[in-house]
Amino acid sequence: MQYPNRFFFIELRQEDIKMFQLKSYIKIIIAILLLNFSAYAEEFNIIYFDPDGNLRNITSLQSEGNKYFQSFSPDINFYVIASEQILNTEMERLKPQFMIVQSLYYSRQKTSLAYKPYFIFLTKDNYFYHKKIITMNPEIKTLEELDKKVVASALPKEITKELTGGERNWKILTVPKDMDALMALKFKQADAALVAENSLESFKKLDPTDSQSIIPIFTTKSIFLPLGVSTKYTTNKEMVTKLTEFMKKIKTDANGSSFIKMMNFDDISDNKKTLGMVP
Amino acid sequence: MRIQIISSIISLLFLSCQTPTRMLEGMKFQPGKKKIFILVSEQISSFEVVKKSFMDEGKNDYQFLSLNLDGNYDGIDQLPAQVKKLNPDLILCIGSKSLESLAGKVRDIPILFAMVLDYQKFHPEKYGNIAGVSLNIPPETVFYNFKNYFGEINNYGVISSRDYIQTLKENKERLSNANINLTINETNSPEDVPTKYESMKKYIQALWMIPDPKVISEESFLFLVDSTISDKKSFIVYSEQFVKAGALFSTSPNYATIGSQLAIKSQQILEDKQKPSQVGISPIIGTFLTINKTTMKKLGLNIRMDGIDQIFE
Repeated sequence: MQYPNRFFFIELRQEDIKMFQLKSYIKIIIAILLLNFSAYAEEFNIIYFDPDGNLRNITSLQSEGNKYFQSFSPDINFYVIASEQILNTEMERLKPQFMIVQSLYYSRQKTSLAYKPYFIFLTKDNYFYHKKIITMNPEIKTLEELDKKVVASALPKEITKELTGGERNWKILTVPKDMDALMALKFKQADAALVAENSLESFKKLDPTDSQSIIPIFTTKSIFLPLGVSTKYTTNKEMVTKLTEFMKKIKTDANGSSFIKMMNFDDISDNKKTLGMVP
Repeated sequence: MRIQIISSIISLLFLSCQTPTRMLEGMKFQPGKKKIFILVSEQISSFEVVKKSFMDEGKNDYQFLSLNLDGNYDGIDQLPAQVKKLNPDLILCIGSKSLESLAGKVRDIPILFAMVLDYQKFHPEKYGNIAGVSLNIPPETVFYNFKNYFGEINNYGVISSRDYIQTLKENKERLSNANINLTINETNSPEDVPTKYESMKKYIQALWMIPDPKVISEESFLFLVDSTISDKKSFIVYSEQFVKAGALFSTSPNYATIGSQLAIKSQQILEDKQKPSQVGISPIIGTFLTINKTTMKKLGLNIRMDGIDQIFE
């Protein structure tokens, strides 16, 4: 019994073989081009960067975020980035079409990264919060009196400095969260702590006795909650608009409610007036 | 190529035969910045986190030389003399064996320590040149963090051997100021844990497990996991491994913060000229919180997850 395919090739003339090969190569090249094009067209990376957020549990946050965004489009990849240093190196590689960024970072980079805000996160209907420098030492009344002293903060050193008026001769004790900064104060491991107002309120409930000794000496400017922004890499503006509409229903979405809760926010707002207030 | 491979193997063999003191012989600080010598007992990832965080904080101001004993304590008696010869401005000991090798033997150079269980047995207060960060997490830190997530739970129980009773009684008194009631049951054997738990369970809402080897065994731990779940009590432990195995919540040290605490202590000694005895020994400040979501569901609890460092299911 003859093998048909083999027979078929044997019967082909030399010119036909060349033409067949050429056509195959062309098909392969077109396929590669199409694949590349479709990959390029469909790639939609979202980066979340908020050093003041819940970044300790990155794995769960990334997994919940991916679950939520992929329910909108399977082409979305969601990345959580913990430090500004990593962010700066990953931006070029990931070319994010959309980002959720801390407002202080947004203000610094909005020109260079061509950020355009689409929405802002909300907590209990508020879109900003304050942090306070507090102490339990009645002799400390101003920031200047903290010279050479220990200040506990859950924020990166650069942001702590930025929020408290620039370079200072403080020893900054970097802790994972506000509660740790408050405990540093309680156990006299820090002379002062930089904490959010709501953390201070929680501590007052937990430790009413020691809370009576807390003296606030400085309140930061308003720190806006993170923003959803398009970037200089955004090519699919229609997708960004649709994504914003999708995210407006985040708290009622099964995946979204769990994701936004994990980020410690309640909702988003695309109010233009509010967005315009972010410096 | 072959020669290179052979010479690498010979070097490795040579290095593996080196005693710690031999390895120190080749080390030398450069003139200029203040000198910190770091001695690490073993190759453990948490020790490395402490070291890295400490060095990152001081990289602009100090120069570092570091030796990891890697569990090889041959010739360790000669270490103090070798370290003195290096003449560092400050020594950081990470791990028990490294502190043990220098405490009381190097007395004219400030020593900081971290990651040392039962540091008291080295009597640091006796020498005046030792300060550090203990592995002690204050109970307030444990309960405040727990209450911050789980709400107004005020009645806690702990089963302990005689070794910790006095400390626990002192804690109980202090905690009562924060409206936290601690019931303490004493036992000196893991076999008695079920009886002790049964006798206290009606008075408590949550059980707190402390690192007491006279109380904890695999059997007693698993008994407590099952019993607390069936009695709808929260089970608070001191390590994420126990949460992975079924306990509800743990508060353990954040190792990077220990590095940050040590960096501040080194500045206080080297820049502010404070004595190590003034700088003192500090408790753990930074915490690592974990939760078991499956246990949480079994207990019918639903809490926010922001700030939780690791979630087990």
